[in-house]
Amino acid sequence: MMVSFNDLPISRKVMRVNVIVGASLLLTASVAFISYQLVMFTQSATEHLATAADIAGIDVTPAILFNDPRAATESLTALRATPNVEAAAAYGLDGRMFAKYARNAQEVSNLPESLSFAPSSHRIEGNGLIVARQIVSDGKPIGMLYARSDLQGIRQRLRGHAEIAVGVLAAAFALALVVSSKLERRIAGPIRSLAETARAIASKRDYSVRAAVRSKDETGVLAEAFNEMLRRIEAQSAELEARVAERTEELTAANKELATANEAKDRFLATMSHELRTPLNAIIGFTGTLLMKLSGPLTSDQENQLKTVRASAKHLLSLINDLLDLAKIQSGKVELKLEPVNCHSVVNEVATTLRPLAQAKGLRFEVVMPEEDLVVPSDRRALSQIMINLTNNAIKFTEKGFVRIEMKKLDTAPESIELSVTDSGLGIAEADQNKLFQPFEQIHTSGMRTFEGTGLGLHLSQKLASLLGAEIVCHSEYGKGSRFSLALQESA
Amino acid sequence: MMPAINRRLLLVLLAAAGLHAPSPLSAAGPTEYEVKAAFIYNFAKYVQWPSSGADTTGPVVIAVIGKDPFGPILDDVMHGQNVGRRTIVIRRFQRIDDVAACNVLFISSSERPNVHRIFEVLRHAPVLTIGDMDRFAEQGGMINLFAEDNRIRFEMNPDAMQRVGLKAGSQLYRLARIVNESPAAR
Repeated sequence: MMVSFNDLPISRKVMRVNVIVGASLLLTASVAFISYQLVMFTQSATEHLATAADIAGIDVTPAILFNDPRAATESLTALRATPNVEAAAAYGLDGRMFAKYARNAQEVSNLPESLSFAPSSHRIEGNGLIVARQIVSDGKPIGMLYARSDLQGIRQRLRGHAEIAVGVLAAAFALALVVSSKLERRIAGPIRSLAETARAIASKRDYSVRAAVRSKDETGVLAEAFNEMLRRIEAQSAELEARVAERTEELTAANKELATANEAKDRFLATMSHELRTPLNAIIGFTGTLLMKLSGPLTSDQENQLKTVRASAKHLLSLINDLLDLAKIQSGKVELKLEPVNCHSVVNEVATTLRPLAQAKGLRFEVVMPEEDLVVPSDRRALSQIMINLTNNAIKFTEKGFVRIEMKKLDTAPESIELSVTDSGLGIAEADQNKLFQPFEQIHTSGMRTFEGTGLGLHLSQKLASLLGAEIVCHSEYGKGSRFSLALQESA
Repeated sequence: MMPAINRRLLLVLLAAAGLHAPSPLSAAGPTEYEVKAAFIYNFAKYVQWPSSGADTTGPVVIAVIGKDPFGPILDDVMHGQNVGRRTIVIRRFQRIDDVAACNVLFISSSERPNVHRIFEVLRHAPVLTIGDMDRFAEQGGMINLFAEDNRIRFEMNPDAMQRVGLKAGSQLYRLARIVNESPAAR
């Protein structure tokens, strides 16, 4: 299979380039040399033959002038001294052959029958070189001399030259191989060792290794730069490790501090809530006593002001209660008591508590429940707190229409019971729905007055629900009422 | 560029160059004396006259003694021709006593009875003597033209030429039949 040049190792590349360059150089030189030789040999052979023909022409002139073919033949026979001449003939001015000479009998057939007087010429025909020379005496044309020589001499000399060229080529090729293999070690060696170092570092991730710098050329510079890079990586990774350790330490310390602070906050809240509730209870108690007019009659102004005091105190109390609950949940101090809880009784209790509130606002208060008793493992106090919260909200945000508490069995596996509170109130815009369960978030709708409340109710309810393994889900559309529901599994 | 050629000489040379040239005696080709005239011209080219005392720049004088067998042929063939840079002049003489300075002398067969006398007169003169009769060279003539196998050939007498300092190239000797003159001619 052929390997692409790009994928060859550098050593092979260097060697191949050397050999290709050397070989093409020599080949070009040889071809040029041999072509030049061919031209030169042909030219000199032509000149030789032309000279021999001219001499023969001079020699044969008197024989032609005195019409003596025998003497002419004798003259031409002198061409035997020129061994390359195969055949020759002299022609008179009438173009007829006057005398001929042939080295071998069969070469006579190569001679033309006639040759008219024409300018001297030469050409290569088949295996022979041919010249036709004018015979001139005293400036007057006498006839033509035709001579043909073989190209044996040229062939032999060319073959000799070609053999030498091939020899030189082979020797140069061998020398190029030897030299380039020596050079290869000098050029590719450092690059190869650099590549091996890089590979070792990549596989072992040991940045303390250093490449050997053997020269001051580009590979030396490369090796030095590589080493410098390694030094920096080493230094940087050391620095990085130190920094990570430092940060980790800092973070651990910060975490510890934070945890301590959080604990302190929870403790503070729990304590403060308790401490705040005691005086508030006193305020509410004594305001109630006053409003009962046990200590004397009240003017209607006084009565109204006292009612405001009591309402504010109650609100403050519920806020403190919520905060306390939240703090308990967040510090993990809420202890749920899981026991079989009859949902009927929870719903009934909530309905009994809040029906008067709804009816006071002129709302229809509906409770929808199946006949059968439905029991779930749960914490009774937490569950009724959630339901009171949801129902309270529904009443608070509904001006007219109804509030409905519903309980039904869901066809899920395992079986579960869904408790829901539906109202025909304001509804919640979709964009606001995800903010519902955040602490201290009240949905402010333009044009509506701010409703009283701590902003903690839903947050607290969701936290409690998640402790019971459930989730409060809200389905609502702005202007069309809301439905809050949670599903409780029958078996824990 | 090919020099202008005398039409007649060209004709002669053409005939001479052909292997299968028709008989010089036949009516179709050049006549016997046309060929002989061309030969005389060629001899003038291949023979070297001694340089001492002779005029080497003036025209080459070709003379005929006796009854001229060429008629107008000789003039026609030689017309406008040169030997080297020298022009050619044709002269005709009837008697040997009339022979003035010439370079080539063609001795007509009509002078056969007088050849000894002519050779005697020209004994020390550098004149190339040419004839076309039997035993012309043996008797002391330098070049004798004769017919053989329907071809004109020539005999040469080197002794006679050397005696007066005339030199012929080896090329000419190779074409000639060499004749030794009889002792009486010396």
